[in-house]
Amino acid sequence: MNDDRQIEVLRQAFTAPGGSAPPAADCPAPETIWAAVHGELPPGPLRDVIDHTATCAACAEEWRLAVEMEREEKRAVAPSPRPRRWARLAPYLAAAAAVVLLVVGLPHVKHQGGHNPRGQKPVVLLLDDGQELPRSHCLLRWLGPQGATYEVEVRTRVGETVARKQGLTATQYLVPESSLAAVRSGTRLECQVTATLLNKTQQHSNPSTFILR
Amino acid sequence: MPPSGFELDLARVRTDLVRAVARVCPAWMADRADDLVQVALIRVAEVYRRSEGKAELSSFYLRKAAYSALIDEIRRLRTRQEVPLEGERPEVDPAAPQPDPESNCAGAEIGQAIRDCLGRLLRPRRLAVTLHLQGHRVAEAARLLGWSAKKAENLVYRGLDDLRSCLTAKGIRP
Repeated sequence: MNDDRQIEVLRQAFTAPGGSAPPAADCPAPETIWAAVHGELPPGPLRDVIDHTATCAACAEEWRLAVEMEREEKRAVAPSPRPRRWARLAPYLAAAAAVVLLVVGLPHVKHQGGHNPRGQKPVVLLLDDGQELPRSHCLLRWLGPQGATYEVEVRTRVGETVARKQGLTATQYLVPESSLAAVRSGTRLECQVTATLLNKTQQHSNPSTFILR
Repeated sequence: MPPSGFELDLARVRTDLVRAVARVCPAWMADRADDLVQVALIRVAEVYRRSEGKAELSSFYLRKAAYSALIDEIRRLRTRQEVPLEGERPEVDPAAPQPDPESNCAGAEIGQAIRDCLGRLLRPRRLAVTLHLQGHRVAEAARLLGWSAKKAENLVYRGLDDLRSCLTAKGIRP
């Protein structure tokens, strides 16, 4: 096995999810790990945190999540000019504002398990309009009602289906590279998710577009 | 409470938090994503209220709030032993082949051996190798640890050598 492959195996084993081990009493606070990853800690405490993650699987995973969050953010903001970030979500902002007002207005906020009174949440594709996605990792993610099954359809702007997947329970779908083989780089594709709720009613996301690279 | 601008900001904040949580939430916690957003939102709202509307809710701060909520929840579940031992990898396609339990077990064994061996390395080498295994490039590790790139590179190299020897002594050849 060559060195690169070997390092990759070691990395995967080291950063694998930490399983069910409960956090130890000396685990650093999440804010401390976050600060360490972002270079905001003085050298001494920073080294202590790294030292801890060397031998604590749970904290190693938490470090990885912090790094991943930053990298995802950088990937998301890297693509070139596109419409205002929030413009596409405008219809949902009103709904979100209503939820926020409810939350902030409540004298005692309780952990309600994430259901609104009707138990139905809109299906929201987590795509910025015009976002670029690589064909080697064309991952579509969305938010939707709990317990729903999903159908995802990716099509060209003239309505020709490029990929379709039904019966998903996860809120993400990796479009197979083989399905995208015939699509030229730079093509704008449209994506829509349909959720089938437990009561068999359906909800559709707004169609979103992305540019295939 | 500050006037109307407060609500408008929170609407934006919530949307930002939804995205932040969705980007990093492990698949096994996907059904709790809304709870995480709610918890993070309440924290942010509290900070904002305490600052009497003067706090700057940068996207960096929001990501940090989302991250803290996520980690707190993961720790809470671990403490209550509700974390599944398997199936923690993102569920991308149910039809796709998943790692078998034997592979998971072998991976966990290697992970534990790596941690044992890291614990035995000289501290500077341990720090360098740990960051390397976390996927940080040499330049990033050097910047974080306040070393020159050359020093970081040397320590990674020597540390990996020590790690391999230690794993081999344990009968593990990754």
